[in-house]
Amino acid sequence: MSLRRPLRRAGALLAASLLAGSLLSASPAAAEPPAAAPPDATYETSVAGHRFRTGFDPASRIALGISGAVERGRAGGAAAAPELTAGLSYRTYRASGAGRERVSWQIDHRVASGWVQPPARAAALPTFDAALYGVDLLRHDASPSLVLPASPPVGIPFPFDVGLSTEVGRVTSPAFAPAARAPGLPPVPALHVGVARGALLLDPWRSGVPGRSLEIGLGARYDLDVEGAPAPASPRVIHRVAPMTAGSLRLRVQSLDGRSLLDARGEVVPHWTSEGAWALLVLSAVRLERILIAVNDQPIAAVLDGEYRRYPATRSAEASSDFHVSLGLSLHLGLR
Amino acid sequence: MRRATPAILTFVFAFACTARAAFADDVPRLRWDQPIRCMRKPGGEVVRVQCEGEGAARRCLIAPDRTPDGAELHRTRTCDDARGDDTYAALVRSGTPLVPAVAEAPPGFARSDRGRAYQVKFDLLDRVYLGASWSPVFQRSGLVGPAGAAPAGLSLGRGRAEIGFEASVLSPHGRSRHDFRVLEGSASFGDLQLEGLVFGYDYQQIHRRPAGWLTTFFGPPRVYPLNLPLGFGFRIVEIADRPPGSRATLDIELGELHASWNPWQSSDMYSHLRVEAGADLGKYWRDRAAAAQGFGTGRWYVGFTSAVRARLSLGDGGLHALAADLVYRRPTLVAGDLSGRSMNRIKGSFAYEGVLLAINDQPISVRVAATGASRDDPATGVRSVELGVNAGLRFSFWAPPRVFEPLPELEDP
Repeated sequence: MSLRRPLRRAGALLAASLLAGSLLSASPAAAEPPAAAPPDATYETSVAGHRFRTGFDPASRIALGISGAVERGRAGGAAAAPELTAGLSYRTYRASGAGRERVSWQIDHRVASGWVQPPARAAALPTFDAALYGVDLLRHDASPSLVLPASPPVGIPFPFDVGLSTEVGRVTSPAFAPAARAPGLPPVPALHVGVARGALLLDPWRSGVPGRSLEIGLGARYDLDVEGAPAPASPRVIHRVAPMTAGSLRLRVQSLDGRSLLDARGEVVPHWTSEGAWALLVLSAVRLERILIAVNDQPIAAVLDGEYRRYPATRSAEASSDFHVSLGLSLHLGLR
Repeated sequence: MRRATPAILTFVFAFACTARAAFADDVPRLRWDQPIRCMRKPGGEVVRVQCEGEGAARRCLIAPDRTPDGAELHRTRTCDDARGDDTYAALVRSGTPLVPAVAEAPPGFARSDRGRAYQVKFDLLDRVYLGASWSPVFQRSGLVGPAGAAPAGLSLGRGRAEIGFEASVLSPHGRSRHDFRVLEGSASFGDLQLEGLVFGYDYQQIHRRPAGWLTTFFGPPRVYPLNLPLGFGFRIVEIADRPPGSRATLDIELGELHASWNPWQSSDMYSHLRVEAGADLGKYWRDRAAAAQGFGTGRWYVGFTSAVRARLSLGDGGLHALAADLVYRRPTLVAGDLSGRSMNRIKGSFAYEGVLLAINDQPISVRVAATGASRDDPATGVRSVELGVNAGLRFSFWAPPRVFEPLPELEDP
């Protein structure tokens, strides 16, 4: 398998993001970040005098949803399935200082979030994707600088916010099983386990606004592929380690009232496998949310999720591409 | 039974006439909701005094504070002050007409001329009851089960005993009512049909505040009140064993949950017309003898439940009530050889209950009901039908007087 084409795509993606980041960082909004974080919740009062919520924190909630999904099915073609989504997330936002001294931290926690589809057959492993815990930290500094330890120290403007993204315990059970390399053998289903990943982030956008960032990341990952699942007569485990070679790009935009949200990310992961060779894993996802209504101030949002994954070939399975698109409604029980 | 009926009616009539004589309304009564003062007459006798009217129309009702036997009066209000010896003398000197009267009685009670307070209003939704009735039934059996065919036709010599605990709690602050039924059961003599309910609960409300608020974000945010005039209820373990039309069957409904809507309800929610829809889960034995070999021998079912129920109290005293139920259920077997088969079950009743008399404030009521039921056999699809009548007496204990507490304008938030 050739790494050249995916790497070329990833390079183009990174270059585009850097360009976009530079443009955004040059914008007036980036130069004049808000003096303080927006309120957690905003309210309006109706003509009849009832106070109701119109602004939300889309990153602090318990989400329960139902949706219809189209994905690459077991036979390789597109297949539809219903699915349930759930998850808990919580955002803290702390700011100190004012003006050019202002520094803020945005910390997003995610706990037990993911989706699951009912199994097509009894005793079959359901199709699902869920992560145990993840946290994203982003530090915004109104006067970012790089200090060189000269005498006297020299400060150089550094046009990025910095951050850290980690996740542990992501398990993906796709509906699609890649073809076996050996002729005549059945497809090889696999369970993908993201044991842990971490990445350092640079944000050229530097919006200083919660939920708005363009994150360029470089990090490490450790993944396991359990081939043969869910028929584990003799499952084969493949270890995948990316030693600070996982590049990522993420764009997060949310409206100031928190009613609309876009979260798009791509990750290109050249890594070393326990099969004794380098391989390339490509992951990408996009999420669009729009709150339509709220019942007793608890919003219900339309959610569009899309994912594309490209798994490298192994000794027993061909390289495969997988996609998953879902559209549904999600009830958000606000935590803030 | 036929021989005993005239004697019972004669006794009841005679007793009713006697009771009426005891409550002859020729002597005025002190009012419970007006101030009452106790005064000591020159001879030392304490009397209860309530004055009414103004000017020339003013008069004072004087009631003894003891029974003619000298016993203390029960169920009276606490007297206000003025026990001084000269207070009564001053009242006499004032020239106000003094009218002999009977002491006051609390709401739901009346006091006889002899000073005894009797409960005259009853809340038949709050009681423990025991009942016995004549219960003839006509059935056309649809099921020839493994235990043999049920005898067809009319069974006249059939009796029935019943027991149950009912409680109904009006929550004025919540503008709601909570109905409980606990350990209800009945058994028929002759064919040993058993019916029982371990626990049942129903909630109804007459809220005026919105149940919630709906905000829309299409264009400028707008908010709308959500008024949901709904209640809910559930049952835990209801048993129907050996119904007349399907003698060999046993049904144990383990749980049922329903939403309810009351298109009409009285201001205190005592009377209502209710529509219910829900679902239940249970086990069904086509051959009840197999149940002796363990709970696992039954077939699981889940299904749709629905009902239209009416409860109507005639008059304020709670002495007469009508009740009507029409229940439709459609359980579907989900396990075993008949998995996927559904059964239609219809059950209806119309009942009148009226309090005949009360012994020591414990009412005895007559209850007459017409009943009907229809069940499908899941194996053959054949339908059994039964029609019956219940006529008998219910002995109720601890039934308090009906409360007519006006509800507040708005429920507590």
